[in-house]
Amino acid sequence: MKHYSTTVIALYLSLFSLTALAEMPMISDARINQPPPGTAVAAGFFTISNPGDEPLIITGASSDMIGKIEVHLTTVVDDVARMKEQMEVVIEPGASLKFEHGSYHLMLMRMDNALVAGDSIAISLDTNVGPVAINMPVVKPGMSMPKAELEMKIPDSEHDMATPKITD
Amino acid sequence: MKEMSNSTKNSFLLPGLAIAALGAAAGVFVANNTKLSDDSATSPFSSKAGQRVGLDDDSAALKALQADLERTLLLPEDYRSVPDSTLSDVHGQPITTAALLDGKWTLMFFGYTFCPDVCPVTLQVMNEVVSKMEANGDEPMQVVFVTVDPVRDTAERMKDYVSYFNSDFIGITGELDAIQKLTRSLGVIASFTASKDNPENYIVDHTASMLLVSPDRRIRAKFAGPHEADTIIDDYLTLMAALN
Repeated sequence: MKHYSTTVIALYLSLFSLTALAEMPMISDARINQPPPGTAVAAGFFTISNPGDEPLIITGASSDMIGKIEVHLTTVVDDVARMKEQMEVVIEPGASLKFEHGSYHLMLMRMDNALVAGDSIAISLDTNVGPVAINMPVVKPGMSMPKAELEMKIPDSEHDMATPKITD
Repeated sequence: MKEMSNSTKNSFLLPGLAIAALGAAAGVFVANNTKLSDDSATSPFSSKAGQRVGLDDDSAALKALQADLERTLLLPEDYRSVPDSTLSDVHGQPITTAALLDGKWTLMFFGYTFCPDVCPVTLQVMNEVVSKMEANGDEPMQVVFVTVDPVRDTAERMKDYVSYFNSDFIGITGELDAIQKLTRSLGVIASFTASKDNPENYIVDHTASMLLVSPDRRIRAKFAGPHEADTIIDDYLTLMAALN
């Protein structure tokens, strides 16, 4: 009887682990574009999928190898490129989100050592389902970069430059 | 890449405080002073009485040329001109806008080296434009990258940054006041946002288009994004056939 109970418990734990694993976010196409020399910042890109039943919420990122990482969103509106830190990024159940040029990206800052192609940076995403580890290789960007669907329009003829303003 | 030690981090942060204070001050200064200096900016297809708008004052021809462009905004001759001013090259030497631009068609972009996403990709596209034109036997334009963040973008930093993309690209920095006058006169946006975490990590929102400057320093077109080398090349060659 005791042996039977142990088997049931072990089976239950295995199924629980498999279920939890199946609901963990999936990461693909992770990369950091090699920044030009002398620059203390770089952008990290990846695709994240949420196979779970609840919204996945990214609240930050960190790495022992990088001084500071923020989640940023680039937009181009009225011919002005804007970049703003995001405190939360939500991926709905069953959905995927690309972190890519002209859109969401990890902004890596305070880098004492230059990143060069071939390096690999271990980054931890802070999420509502726990930390998600990403191993991000540094790559030399090719000439054909992935393009996001930028919101970009040719300035209209009445006011062809946007009014400057300070974002908070 | 090795992991940073605490002492390494401290040695980075402490001298950064002085830069941070300067950067924050510059950010506030520029943000408070970045306004369009010329309210008389004209519609691309309107003209002030008695002024040329290009193509022998034929607005129909101008419209026809615009229709031939894929993603580029043609601007009239009297739109805006690069003013006389003295800036700094990547060797820290003064350079006038006349010496920089007169006599050459120039593709000009305003950005900053702390920009991790838009600026490096834009410069990659500019390199692709030049490389493809050279390969096709077309004469490429001169490429100039002007920083909107001269406090952080020293001549040395600009040299390393610009040459990474193309050794022929020209990097321009300068005194904050001179850069500010240039951007204002061209209607280029440079809007600073302070960092909550660290004052030295401020962000600069900036105009995303590349500007096409004529040999007499007039802004004749804007290459709007998303930037693609082939589109820029096609539109540039169309413009050269019509304007030269």
